[in-house]
Amino acid sequence: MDLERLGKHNRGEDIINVRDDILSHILSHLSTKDAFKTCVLSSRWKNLWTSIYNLRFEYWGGEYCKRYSFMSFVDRVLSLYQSKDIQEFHLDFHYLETDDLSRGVEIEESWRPCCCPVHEDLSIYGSDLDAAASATPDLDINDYLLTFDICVPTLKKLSICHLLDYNNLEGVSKLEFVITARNLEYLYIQDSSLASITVNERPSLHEVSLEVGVDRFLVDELGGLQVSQDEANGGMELLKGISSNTELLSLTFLTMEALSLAFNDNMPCFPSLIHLELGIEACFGWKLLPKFLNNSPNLEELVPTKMENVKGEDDELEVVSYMLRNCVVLEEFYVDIVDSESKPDLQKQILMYPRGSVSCKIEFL
Amino acid sequence: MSTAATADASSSGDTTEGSVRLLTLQSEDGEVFEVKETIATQSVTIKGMVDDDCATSTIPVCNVTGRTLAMVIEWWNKHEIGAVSNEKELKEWESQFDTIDDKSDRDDVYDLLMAANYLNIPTLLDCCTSAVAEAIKGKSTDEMREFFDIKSDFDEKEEDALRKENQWAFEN
Repeated sequence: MDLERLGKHNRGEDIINVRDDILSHILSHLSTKDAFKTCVLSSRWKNLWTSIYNLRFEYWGGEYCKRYSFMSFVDRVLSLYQSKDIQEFHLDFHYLETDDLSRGVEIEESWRPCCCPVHEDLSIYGSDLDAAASATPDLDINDYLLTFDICVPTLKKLSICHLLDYNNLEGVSKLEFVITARNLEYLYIQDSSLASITVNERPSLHEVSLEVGVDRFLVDELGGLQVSQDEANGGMELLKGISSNTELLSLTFLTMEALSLAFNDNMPCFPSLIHLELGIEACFGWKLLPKFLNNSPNLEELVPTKMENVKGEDDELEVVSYMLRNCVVLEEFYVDIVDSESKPDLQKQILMYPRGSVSCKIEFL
Repeated sequence: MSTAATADASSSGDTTEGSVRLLTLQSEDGEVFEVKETIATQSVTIKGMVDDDCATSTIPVCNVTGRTLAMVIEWWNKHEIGAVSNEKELKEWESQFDTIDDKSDRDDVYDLLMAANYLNIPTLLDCCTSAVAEAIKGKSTDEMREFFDIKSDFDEKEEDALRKENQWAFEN
């Protein structure tokens, strides 16, 4: 369709003649490595990459020397970087190699790029950090504590994802996250190592999602690894740190399980909480539900609204009765009764329970 | 994509649009388009003119050809609030910018990029810059030079030094 264009000059020339900010816009879509590579294109491009507004580093393992090379690259980028308007900082650092575990720890101790200024969005994704520490013969694991000090006043969104390698759990060491970010709005934590996480300064949080705990099925299978009282208390402390302003809160059933262990009538208040999502399963979490309801005066919406696998046992019915009586925000409640023989009787019984919410509909599955 | 755009553009010039005000845009090569004000103000530049009451006569859109302007108008029409109800449909339409290995597609995206910059249309600018980025992703430096038609003014030693200093970026 473009015969007329054939005689024309290359449009790429137009692009490089446009203002630098368009080029930095283009480079910001790339990984920082690819963006950085443009520094050798010509003298004009030498420093162009330093004005990109997203920093994305990825390291997916490799030889030991390459890891150092990667780290000095990150350090170099951070020292040359000129933009005052970072929007995203992303660091994927997968470094574990079985043959040089001990060195991995040294590096982790001395290298903490998270301290660089980040304006809006910080993701920390870690795996196997503990395993690396534990497999180091010379290190006293019990005294080993790795701290991530995240002190960024302008930070709005923080995601921490730290998943254990369940195949290598001998002598798991501790991680610590200290979050000081008073303007934080979104906090997502997924942590199967039960790291100690402290939230300072009562940030103006809007949405918080916590999955903090150890998978019960893996605990059964592997044995030995259980949530300690200290770790559970740590979970409760984390909840206190985020309780004052959070509007949307989601706690998975692993979190609820860990919190159950620490619960000692010390549940914080949630004055701003509007939407609460709790992972509640047959045996865990119910104990905490009354406290959440009592301590959240402005709650408008509660999830779950479903009770599954009801066999008609007393404790189950007690829970159903409690939900209906006390959840004034409940609009619909589903009950799944397993036994078809006793179903009609159970239905009658449940329908007779007093309801805190006048408009609440009960449906049977 | 340009044919459809012209059709869209001319239909939006229909005066039966009720009380919606129409703006007249004139491209660099003299083509005239009538566009609903509500649509054209997706351009921050045009919105500024409307707000300052400077959009009463024909607005000259210098540096943008009629062909490109028609594509811009198609973009506006697709991105008007409520225009495409289906998010997936919009993504599919936008995906035509994803592959710009073909030279004529690339030129289209460059033209759009320049227009998006000139008219200050953040969403279009983001889409076009992302398309260019996608095209240069993973390219060697020689390929990038070819892509942008850059002539290096480094001598071999300088370039080698840069590469050596930042080894990791140039490995694998």
